Amino acid sequence: MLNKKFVMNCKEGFHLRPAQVLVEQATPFQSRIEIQKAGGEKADAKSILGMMSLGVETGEEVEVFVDGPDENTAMAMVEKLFATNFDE
Amino acid sequence: MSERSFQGIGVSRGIRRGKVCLFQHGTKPDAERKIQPREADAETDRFNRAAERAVREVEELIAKTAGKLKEEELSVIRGQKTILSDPAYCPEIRKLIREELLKPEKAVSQVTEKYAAIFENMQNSYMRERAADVRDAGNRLLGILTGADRSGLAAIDHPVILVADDLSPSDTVQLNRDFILAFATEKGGKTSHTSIFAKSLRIPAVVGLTGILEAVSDGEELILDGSEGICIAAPEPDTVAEYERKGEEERKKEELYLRSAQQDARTSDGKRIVVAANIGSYADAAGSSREGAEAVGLFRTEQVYLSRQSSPGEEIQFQEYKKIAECYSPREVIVRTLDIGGDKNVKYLGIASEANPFLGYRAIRLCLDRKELFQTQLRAILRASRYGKLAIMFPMIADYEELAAAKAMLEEAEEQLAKEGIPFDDRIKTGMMIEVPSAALMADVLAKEVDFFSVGTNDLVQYSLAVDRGNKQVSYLYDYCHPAVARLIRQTSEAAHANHIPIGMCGSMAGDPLAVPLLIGLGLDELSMALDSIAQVKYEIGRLAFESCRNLAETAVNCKSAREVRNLLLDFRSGVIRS
Repeated sequence: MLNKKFVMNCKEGFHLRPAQVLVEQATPFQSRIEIQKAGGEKADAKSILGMMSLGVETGEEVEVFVDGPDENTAMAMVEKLFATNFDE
Repeated sequence: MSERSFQGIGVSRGIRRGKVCLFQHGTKPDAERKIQPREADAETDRFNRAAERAVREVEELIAKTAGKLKEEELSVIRGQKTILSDPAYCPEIRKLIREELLKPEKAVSQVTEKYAAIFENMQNSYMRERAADVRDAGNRLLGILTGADRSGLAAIDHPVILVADDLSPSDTVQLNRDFILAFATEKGGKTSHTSIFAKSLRIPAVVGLTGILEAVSDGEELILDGSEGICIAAPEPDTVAEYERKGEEERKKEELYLRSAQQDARTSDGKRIVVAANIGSYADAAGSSREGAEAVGLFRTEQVYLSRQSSPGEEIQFQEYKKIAECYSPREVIVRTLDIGGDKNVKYLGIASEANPFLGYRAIRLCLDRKELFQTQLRAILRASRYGKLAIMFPMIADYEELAAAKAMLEEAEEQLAKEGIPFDDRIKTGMMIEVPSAALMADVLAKEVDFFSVGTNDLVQYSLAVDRGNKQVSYLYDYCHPAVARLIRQTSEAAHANHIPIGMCGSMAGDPLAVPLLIGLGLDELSMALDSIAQVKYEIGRLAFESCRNLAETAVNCKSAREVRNLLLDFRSGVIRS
């Protein structure tokens, strides 16, 4: 299992577009990909409901957990999304 | 029962009288009772079967209705499928059945409500409406689980006024449209499914009628007025007679208007007037061509900003503008750059409140100061321009230097895009609003710098008569029929035509049938208005002769007061109606 912390830098926070981008890109992976806000519950990164209800705002930190056979490439995908502000 | 009336929000025009048919969604889950641990497997299975059937039903619905429904209606049904197959939704329900030993009905309601509430609390109105997708999915599951008779709607076989809490796409799809006289619902707003559906089929509808389900009974007589947003139950004979007359008048007029709506507007002696729509979002754009809009004379971009917590990025704006450009192509869409100031509360812009917000830091003044904000929008508009025919319009220009600065900013955005190799329409037209008297007075100078003018009457009246129309004590002065306003418009129009550029109008005056002959006489080439005025204005234009409009305008600019102009216009109008 891999885990890593990221800061959400998208101007609009984790709202519709970034959440959709993440769900789209996470779904093809076999690994379980979960996101957790400090002190909150883990949410499934393949679920638009889960991502929307996290309510991550700009500047907030989240921890990402990836577990499964393709966890390395999955984490690389997540890193890239955060680094490019979800293709903003 | 005696006559009772209910006030709601009218979302689709028309008057209808008929018998009430009450419709309420699935039975409430009986199940506060917990299940036994040994029942968990069986109950989970029951849920799984219901979930599979729900997905199948939605897929069949999509297959059956593809091509028949409008894209906006289809996308609402697809929304249900997205929820049903979301990895958080069904698994979370299963977890509640297994771990909390809830009955599936209870588990479905609980999870549905949880997510619906999250969406409902979002700032963005699009996201708020998505709560309906979650509820639709939940209602479908509940219907299957409780075996509720969902064929109720399909069974309607005589004309009724449907009274419901709210209607979902899975409900409306079952309806035999020939038997639905009108819709009345407790919930919903102008963008809810019921509203979109009713409008697209031209079925009169009133939403937001809180408490009506309790207050009327099945089979009771009801009058519904979709223009006024009123429902009257058990009407007295006098009321019935009054509405019959009103309804008959409306129907006759509608028919006349609709015939004109799909043709280009021309006066009886052949002068072409472009009748365009004022829109605020893609949803408006999608509806407007049906109403007969020949172009978009004003796309207000404020909604893109107001519906958010933070400034919308270039990509978000680009996507919205592109959709609208494509929807209208090859017709023109005039995009007005951000027109916002201290009277609107946009937190992330951090505009200080001012003593005189309408004379202060707003619109183009704000954009020229906040270069990054302005550049982002200009880039987004330019990028979208290659997907249709967009034009850019600057609001509230008071002075030549402002216009020059705005044009320089636009040039900078174009150069940047060109450098980055991003394509855009490099022949995009640039225009300005005439809404400050100084701009109207300097129109001959400004006309040499732009491709078109558009008169914004709301502000022009406010600034030229120095009257705040929101202030009741002085609002008697607020009248766009004032001869001073007519003189400003005439001067602007003469300057535009001397420099061979077109002049339009996008204020509320343009959609007022009384004012239209005056505007045509003053030389306006395009009138842009709210969607529901378009058909009527097109019809009225067809009955006017350009020559007599010119004479009318000549008399109007020499009137002493707004009242005198109004009387002149009323006389003119009754003359046209009699002829």
